[in-house]
Formats: sequence, structure tokens, C-alpha cells
Amino acid sequence: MKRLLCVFLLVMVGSFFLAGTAFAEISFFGTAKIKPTWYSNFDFNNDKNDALIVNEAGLTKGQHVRAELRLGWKASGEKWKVMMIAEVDSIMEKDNADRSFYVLAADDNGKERQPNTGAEFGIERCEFTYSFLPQLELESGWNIRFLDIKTGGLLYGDDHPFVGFRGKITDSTNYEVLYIPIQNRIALKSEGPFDDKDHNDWEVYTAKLNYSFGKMEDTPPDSPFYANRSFGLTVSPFFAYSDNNSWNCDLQYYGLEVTGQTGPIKPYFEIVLNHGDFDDNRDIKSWAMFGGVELPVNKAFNPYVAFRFTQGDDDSSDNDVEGWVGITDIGRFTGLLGMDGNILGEDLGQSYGATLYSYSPERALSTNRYGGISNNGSGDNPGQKLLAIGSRGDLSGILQGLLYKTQAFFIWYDETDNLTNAKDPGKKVDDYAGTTVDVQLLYAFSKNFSIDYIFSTFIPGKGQEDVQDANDPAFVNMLTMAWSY
Amino acid sequence: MKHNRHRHLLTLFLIAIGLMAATVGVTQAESWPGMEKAIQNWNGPREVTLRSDLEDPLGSSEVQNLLELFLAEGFRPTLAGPGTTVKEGLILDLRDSAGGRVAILSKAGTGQILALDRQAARPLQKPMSDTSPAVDSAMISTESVEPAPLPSPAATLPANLSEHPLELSWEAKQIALAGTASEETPILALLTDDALHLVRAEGGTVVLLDTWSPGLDSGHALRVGAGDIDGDGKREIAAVWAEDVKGIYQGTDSRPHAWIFSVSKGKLAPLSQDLEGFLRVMNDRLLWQRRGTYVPFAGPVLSVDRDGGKFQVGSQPVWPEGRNLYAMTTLPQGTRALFWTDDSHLVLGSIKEQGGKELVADLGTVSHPSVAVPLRETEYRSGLEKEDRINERNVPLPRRILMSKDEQVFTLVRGRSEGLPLVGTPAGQDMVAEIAVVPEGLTLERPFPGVESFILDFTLLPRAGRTDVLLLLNDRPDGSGKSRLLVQSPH
Repeated sequence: MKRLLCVFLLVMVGSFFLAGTAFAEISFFGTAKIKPTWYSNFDFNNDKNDALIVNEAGLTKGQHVRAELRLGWKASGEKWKVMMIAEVDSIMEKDNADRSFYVLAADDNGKERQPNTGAEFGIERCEFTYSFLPQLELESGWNIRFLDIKTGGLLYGDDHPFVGFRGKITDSTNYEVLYIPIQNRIALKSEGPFDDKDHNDWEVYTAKLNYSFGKMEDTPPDSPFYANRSFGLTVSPFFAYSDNNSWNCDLQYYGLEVTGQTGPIKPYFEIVLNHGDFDDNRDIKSWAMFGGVELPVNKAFNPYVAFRFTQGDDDSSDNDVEGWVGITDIGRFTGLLGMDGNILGEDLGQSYGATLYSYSPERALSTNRYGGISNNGSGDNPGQKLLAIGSRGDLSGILQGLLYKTQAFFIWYDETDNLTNAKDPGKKVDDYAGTTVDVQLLYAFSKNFSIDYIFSTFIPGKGQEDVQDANDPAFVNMLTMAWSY
Repeated sequence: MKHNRHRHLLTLFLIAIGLMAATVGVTQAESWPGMEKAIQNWNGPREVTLRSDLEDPLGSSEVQNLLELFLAEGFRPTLAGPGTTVKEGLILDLRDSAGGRVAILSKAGTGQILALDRQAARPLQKPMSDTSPAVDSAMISTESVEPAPLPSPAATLPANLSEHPLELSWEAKQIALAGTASEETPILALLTDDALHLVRAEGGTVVLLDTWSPGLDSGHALRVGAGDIDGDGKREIAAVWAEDVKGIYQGTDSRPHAWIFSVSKGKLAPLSQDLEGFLRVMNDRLLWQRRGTYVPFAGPVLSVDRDGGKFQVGSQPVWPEGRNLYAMTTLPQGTRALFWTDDSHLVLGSIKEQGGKELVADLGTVSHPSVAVPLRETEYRSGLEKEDRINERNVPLPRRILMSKDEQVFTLVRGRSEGLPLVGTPAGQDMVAEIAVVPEGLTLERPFPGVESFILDFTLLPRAGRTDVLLLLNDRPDGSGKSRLLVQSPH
């Protein structure tokens, strides 16, 4: 694998020499998002303080205002492209606004302070490409890459660093292969758990093929029920190999994704299986699937229904690790069920076990970890059966510029044997984990400025009540003022 | 104590007086803001000729304000009638139009407009109708016009419309010649984002005859055309709007809506249901094409024919699939056609074969109007959240190509640009040019002068022995600035 990486790097360097001194088109773009937010009761217990909650701006809880400020620029020539985005993403307060360094490096107790508390611009995302042929384009950087974000987001979607190739084989077929070094860490000390140079590495290799067929262009966009002759699908087999030295395991993922349109219906389908083992011969074997349909009725009413499944583990003490853990569960940003700030996509690690971005409860336990966000997903997790109903639409008939999305998730555990019943010790935990309700309203004042509000709640079911010995609803109230240009 | 209260009252009184004086001062200073700036920037002769068709221009306080402005800057004003020729200095034209009292400052000799200010708009002669798009909707009009004949070769336009632009009260984006009410009075179809206006250009003003609204919640104007489609000697109008349907995570999806109208006695009467596609009038024939899911134009181009009292889309392809309704224009000579390429080049080819001889000329880029079409694959421009994604692409409609009765072909050349963002100012000239087919291919002729304004659209005015053009001008290329009409004759 190291040799392969060297080849990648050499090709990338060579490609920039080949690009020569061609003239470039340069453009700037950016976004500024200010998000007054209130997280409430993420532990489902009114009588206790919430533990810390992580979001993109850092650690927080309760009321806060998050600022995500981005400035991007891109340059391109005939065959090459370069893009970089600088970002500050912080919880707004005086120490990280207009500050960069504090002189006092110790507090009153002599404890060392973080010397640099300012929020500085850094490269949040970047991407570099060179197209040798339509069939062969070199790509690198750290930017959004995904395998299944258009459907369930069960396996991978993130902005990890990558080196890879993609290309268009025919008009209807394209591919992408990636090397993704998620972790490449060595110990700062000569002793300790990470003293081996490979010990804390986590590298992922992915491949995806997209094949489209049918005639999507035949769709009269205005009339879903009238003479709709469209039938167009994109079928995408994908593969990922996870070389996870950090947890001493390696495994393969095999998946298939289907999107498109059949008459008035938009189907979404995905199935993924994994198989691998830990160095001590514990077997990893699990699967997950997603299916959904959207039926546009008119511009104001586009109802959908979906089902998301991740297998749970039924016995954490045996050698079979059967709980589903992806590389990055990216449910929060998926096409049908995603929402930028609904409660299930926030960090519920302290209760339900779904952490930031993920919808599945991969952190409900902390044993037999083999992947997931920050590599902390447990293979002994209880899994998930999620039934979703929702609708989205354009309410310009009421007020021009007003848009909405609303949905409800009904969530069951797949297996509860590994969960501890805190309410009735010794008894089996109930299957029903809870219900979430999300409502999002957006008003676009112009093409460049909008305000949206999300109300989202997780009402714990009997299962969560058993685990937490509490059943108070959790809430997210989030306002987003967004400027984009 | 009492003394103090009086002092407070006096202070409040003085503050109030000061605020009132400041308000009056600001109001006066802002009466003719464009004029003030233009006068201060003028380095030529300090002569200004005030041309006006007002009965008593000096009796108007607004005119007095204007004259004070000029006198304060050292100008020597002269009064003159509306048609007076001026060779030196500046010309100040004062008009009462449907949009209010308009003052236009231009450079003598070249006619270049330096400033245009308008006083409070007078009410239009007829308010906008909010009629529903139903075919049998009642139309309202305060003006009565005889059935519109086709424009005769002898038709002329008011002289002042061809000398100076006429400001419109509407943000018109497209224009078509709907007919003539008399030999000197053209009837125009003006398409705005929310309505089709039928107007009569008369005596330096525009008289609103009728308005029809498609009733779309959020949309924008795409294209209007006119021609004698059913051969009854009167022009029908084809109007197309885009309804912009949006989703929080889906972006914008422009869905075309189109209707056909008759013009009779100053009224617009729909002759079709919503045809849910793109329409184009070409050589007095009406063509239709639908939008695709991920492409702006899909399927074959079909003809629209009259079946009884209604127009309906036919089933037999006029052009095969793969053609763009607005990009191809068939020429009368055999099977040849003109094509707009995606990068705004004009190519001479055949109806069956799109490739051919390209016109070697920079015709500029016209980006409006456009339709938003969803991308098959979302682009994550700067992240995963909704503001970071690009879900659609905006596809400009190929610009208009018109053919006169004597088979001259005209199109728009974009030579004007907005300049750099924030710091730049518009520069350059747009013009209507003639495309001539020669044995070697295509050549570009420039029979009409360029204008220092964006030409949003144009229509042809047949005249005795020549073809004039009626330009729809705007300060901004997207039509969000002031709209004006200007008539040009060939050199």
C-alpha cells in the first residue's frame, strides 16, 4: 500500500509540471453563517445537566451562537483546477473573536492555559485536479467525498484527505477510486500504545462505479401524474477496504446504491454488507440498508417515506461483532432524510448514541470499535430500525421565498441485549428507542441571503427510558442567518 | 424650574425646526440627483438647452429647481421647443410620461444620455389586471383600439421616440411588435416577470392598453413573440414565463409556462391553456418544446396549431430531438439554418446537421433570461450544508434572431459590460447587427449604431424601403434597472 501511495504522489507532482504556465480563471466565493442555537436536554433528563456536546465549532451545550465563516477561491485552466476554502468555525465569544494570542499563559492556579485561543482561518477544504483524459482525472486534497450520501449515508461521506482518480468511461458510466488516510499518527513519546509507526493509522480505499440508463429527460417537470414516461436509474456498486490499525482490524464493505426516477416516483435504495476481523480473530460481519420513495404531488407537497436499517449486535461477549459501523455515517446530509441541524444529526452520544452527522447509534456502547466518526463506533451497538415520513416544498403560494421541510422518525433498536436497563435492572430493554420530529422553515430574502429556523425534538421511547431511567424530551432550536456569494 | 422647562421646550422646538429644514434640504437636493452629478462631471461648454413640451415649463417649481441647479454651476440655459436641433453643449429634455415627469440630460451632437431623473410617477392610465389565467377571463381596458392590422410598410413612429429613449414604468424584459393602432402608433407586447403588458407608443409616451398576469407565485419573464400564426391578418402573441420552484435542499427548478393571445380592440385574450413548455414564433409559425428533468430543452420541436378556437401542441416533430428551440433559426434558402453554440458563437449549418461555418466575430455573452435546471449530481462547492451546495445550473436562452420580410437576419451583439464588481462602471456598446449569408459563410454587418446601454431585447419595425429596430434598453443586463425604448433606423 505504501508503494501505491508513492506512485500516487509522483503522478500528482508530475501532473502539475505538465500543467505548465497556462492562464488561469480565478474566482472567489464564500459563505457566512451565524447560528443562534439552543440545545436542551440531550441526556433526556430535566434534573441533570447535559454533558458536553460536540458540533463543528467545538464543544458546547445549551445556548450558544455558532459562526461558520468561509472564504473560498478557485482557479482553473484547460485541464486543471485548484480550489481552497479558508474557514473559521467557532462558538462566538470574546476569546475567539478578534483575538489570536493571550500573554497570560497560566491561570490563577498556575494551570497552563491554551496560549492561542483565537479562531484563525485555516484551510477547511481544498481540492486539486488534473485531467489527463476524460477517462482519467487525478484528484487530491481534502474535500467532500462520499459513497452513499444520495441514499442512506450508511457507509461514507466526509471531508477527509484523499488521493485518487475518477473518470468518465462512457456517456452513461463513470468511476472514482480513492485512497483516504483518515488517521496517520505516531506517538510523541517513544513508549506507549502508539509507538509503532503504523499502530494508530486508519486508511481506507474506496471504489465506486455509476451506471445510468433510461431516459430521464423525458420527464415533463411540471406534471408528475400527466404523461410521465420517464424511467431512468443510476445503479452504483461500491467497495471500501478499511485498514484500521488503530483498532487492530481490517474489513471490506460491499454495497449497491440505486437512485433515479420511475414515472412520478423517485426511488432511493442502498444495501451494504461488511466482513472482516480483528487481529485476535473476532469476526466482523454486519449489514445495513436504506429504502425510500418520494412522490411529488405539487411544488408545495412532496411527501416521502423511508426505512433505514443497521444491524445490531446480540451478544457483546461472543466473538461475532455484528453491530453495523460505517466509515462515516453521514445521515444528517443525505438527500431524503437529511437536515442541517435536526436533533438526530447532532451529537446524541450521551444518550441515544448517534453522534454528530450519524443517525445510527454507533456510540451506544464503547466496545469492539472498528470505525465510524472519529473511529469510535462500537461493533456491539444495538443497531437501528428507522421509519421516516416527511414532506418538503415551496410555499411561495403563501409567501414568495418561503420553503419548508418536515419529517418524523420512528426509531426502534434492532437488538437490545447489550444495553443495560437502568430503570428496571435485570429486565430486557424495550425495542422502541423514540420518536423525532423535525420542522424547518426557510425564508429566502434574496439569492444571497436567507434565514431558516429548525425546531427538532427527540421524544424518548420506552427503550431510551429503560436505558436512561429518564424520559424527558430533548430539543434543538436553531436559527441560521446565511449569506452566500 | 419653570425657566428650565421653557429652555427645554425651546431646545426641542429648535431641534424640530432643524430636522424639518434638513429634511427639506435633503428632499430638494435629491429631486434631481442624476442631474446634479452629471452637471458636476461635465467639462464641455456651459450651454444647456431646455426642450420641453410642457405648456408653461417656467411655471413649474421642478423646472425652476432644475434651472437653479444649472445656473449655480455656471450654465447658460436656453429654452426651446421639443423638436429643436441643438449642436453644442447639453440638452435637457423634459417630458410628462406615463411613468411621471422625466428629465433626460444628453450630449448635443452625439445624443449620448448622461442622466435621467424622474419625478413622482403619475398613475398609469389603467391599473394592472389581476385576472386569473383562465381562458375566458374577463379583460379590462380603458382604451379602445381598432383590430390591429399587420404593420404596414408605411408605418412610422413618433419622431421623438427615435431621437431619445422613452422611459417605461415597468421592468420589461422582452418585447414584441403586436400590431399598429394606426400608421404612426405601434402596439407593443412588453413582458415583465409577472405580466404581459399591451401598450401603445404614442406621442412620446406609452399608453397601457391591457395587462394579463399568469398568476405564478414566483417566476420570471422568458420570451415573448408575435406573428400572424393563423393567417387571419392579425398578430397573435406567444408569451413564456418561468416559474421558479425551490427547495431548501434542492435548489431552483425553472418550469416554463406559456400562453398564446389574440389582440383585439386593445385587449389581450388567451387563445390557449397553459402549454407548459417553451414557445417561439418563427416565420409566422408557432413552435413548442418541453423542458427536461436535467436539460433545458428536451424532446422534438413540435408545431402549435389552431384547432377550432384554441391553440394546441401537435404531435408531429418539426425538428428532431436534440435541437434547441431558440438556438436554431431556419433560413429561407433551402434547408440551411443558423445555430447558436453554447459559447455564444453563430454557426451556419443545415437543419439536419448542426455543425457548419462559424461566424468569425465576437458577439459577446448574453446571460439573461435564463432557466434554472437541476443538476443530476449535486456539487458540494464549499461543504455539505444547503448553502454550500450547487444544485442547479442557470442556462441562458439563446438570444433572439429575427428575420425581416425581405429576409434580412438580425441579432443582438453584446459589447457592453458591467465592469468589475463593486468598483467598476458599465462600459461599451450593445447593438443590433445584421447577419448576412454569403458564399463563404456568414458575415456581420452593422447597420445600426451602438448604444451605451444594455439591449435586453429588440423587435423589427418594417418601414418603407427599410427595416427599423425598436430596442428595449436597460441600465443593467438582467433588466433590473430602468427600462427604455429607442427606435433606430439603419445608417
